[in-house]
Amino acid sequence: MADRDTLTDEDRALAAEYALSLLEQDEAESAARRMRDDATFAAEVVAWQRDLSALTEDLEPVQPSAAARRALMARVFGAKPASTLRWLRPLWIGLGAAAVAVIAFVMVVPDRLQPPGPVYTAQLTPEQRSFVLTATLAPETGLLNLVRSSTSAPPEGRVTELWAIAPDAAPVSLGVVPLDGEWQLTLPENLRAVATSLTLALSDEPVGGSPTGAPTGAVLAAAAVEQAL
Amino acid sequence: MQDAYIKIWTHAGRYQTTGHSPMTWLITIARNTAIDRLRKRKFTSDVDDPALALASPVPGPEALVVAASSARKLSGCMDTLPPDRAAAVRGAYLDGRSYAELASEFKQPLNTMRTWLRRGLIALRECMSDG
Repeated sequence: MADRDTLTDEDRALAAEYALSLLEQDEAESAARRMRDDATFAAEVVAWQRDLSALTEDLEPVQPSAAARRALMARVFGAKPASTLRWLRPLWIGLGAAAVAVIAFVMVVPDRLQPPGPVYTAQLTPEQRSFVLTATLAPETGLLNLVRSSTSAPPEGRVTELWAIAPDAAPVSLGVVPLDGEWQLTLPENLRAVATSLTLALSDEPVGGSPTGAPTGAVLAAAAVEQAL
Repeated sequence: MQDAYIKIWTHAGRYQTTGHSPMTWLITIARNTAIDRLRKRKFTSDVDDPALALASPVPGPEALVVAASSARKLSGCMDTLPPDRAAAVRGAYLDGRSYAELASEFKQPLNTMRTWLRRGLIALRECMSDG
């Protein structure tokens, strides 16, 4: 890395201090500006962040509490107001200041009555690691969020197709997937009931997807969904 | 912790542009979020951190292997530092200590503390780039 040689020790120490969050606000802001203009300096900061993250390997993992999970899911997916309580709200509004605490309590209650459902994930990556596809599934709604990041493209004229496979059933196409990006789709109605036992698979297909409705090319990667949260 | 997860969820699509491995990306965001909370400061060096928004190509398998070996190297290099300097680097990274906190912990004047830690960091970088 010849570029690195253009940095002085001073620069490297500054990059490390930035990565360690040791700089005062004005220094940190000026370092951040420099990173935008100076790719070599920016690469040094990235290298420090990468190298220092190895220090976390000595940490003992801590399992977050179930309450934190519920609060988090409510923030991500939005709390569903409990319909049985909604009609009561106008009554409380009339009760004035004394009721504020009660209302505040009620705003919290819906999360507890209707905790957002579990989330399942699957990560698909071929042996050669030419891409990673991460699927996040909310079985209750059948919503599937997909993120794929590729380091190389498939051969000319070939595409990757995603399949959902229920136990003892034939693969159902979920469409041809892009090389990179994030997108959402909803599982077909008949797969929702078995959403938590699905296996997702990616196959190599001709442009336009499998002409037969079943996988025709090599299976690149497959993984069963597992409960994540 | 929740804030960190929310940021990760919201900005997941951006991770691939950073040139970081997924774990480094997650760790850096989680750490920055924790430090912001700790210092109750407004300036955030997280997903808006230019280091996390660099438009560099996605690292290929080779780059990932290089990253993994350099991470392994770090612990070896930490051992070559005088123990108190290594402890100061750990304190800054893992506990989010500021220079002022490190200075009082190691009973050093602030400027001495800074010179001293910077020397440690330069030594660390030299050790990491050897071989």
